[in-house]
Amino acid sequence: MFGLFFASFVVERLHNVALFDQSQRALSPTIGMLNTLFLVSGSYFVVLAVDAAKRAARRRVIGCLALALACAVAFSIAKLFEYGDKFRHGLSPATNDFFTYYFILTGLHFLHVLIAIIVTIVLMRMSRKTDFSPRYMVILESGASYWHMVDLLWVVLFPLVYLVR
Amino acid sequence: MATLSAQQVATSVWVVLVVATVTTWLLARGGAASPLETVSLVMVIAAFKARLIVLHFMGLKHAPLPYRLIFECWILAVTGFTLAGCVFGIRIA
Repeated sequence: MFGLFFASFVVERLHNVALFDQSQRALSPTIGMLNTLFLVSGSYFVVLAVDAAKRAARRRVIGCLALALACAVAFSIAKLFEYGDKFRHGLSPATNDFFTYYFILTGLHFLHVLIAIIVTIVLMRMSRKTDFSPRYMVILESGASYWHMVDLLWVVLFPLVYLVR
Repeated sequence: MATLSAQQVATSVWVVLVVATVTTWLLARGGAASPLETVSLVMVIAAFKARLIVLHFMGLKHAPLPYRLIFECWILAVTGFTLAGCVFGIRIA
């Protein structure tokens, strides 16, 4: 689904390259870059959590998941700050086609980050009393895959929306 | 040659992802290269980062080929289409 959204953005941009390029200048590549660092780091901590779970290292699993959670929360704070800044400057989804895409693409992705926060909290609670059964490992690895998917989408979304012109 | 542990591989991949992210940011704000060179480098780095996440974080490096191909093709299609669209956009701008 995101692939189609990305393709749609590229095609729509070709209809009005000047508008898209000018509108893109209102975005902060620095916030986008920081958010990329938050998500790749979150993904990394999730990998470490899964690796620790294979060794039944409970405290390390919970610690790594807590760090991943902190990364997702940091992403969310930066994203809310970014949205607030846009609205303060009178930029909204109704401003033009570029900002319609900007808010839909980043908003949908942000929704997935919020779900990742809930998933991480659930995994942390489960990890407190798990016996590291195969069922727990499947749930943990599924949550980890979801995390990486959210990371993967942002790694493409960031250059597409914030950088290429 | 000593085999790296899963943790060492993950840490190496994370370092490369961080360096690639900062490099992309510097490239985009630097303005030293032409728009065509910048967009090409930015999208190639994005594809490279996406592959690292899929192969090493998601663990598809040793997955059956069909599963791996789904993600590899998605990355190639999305970044390739974006790059083609941007190159065309530079020409018509």
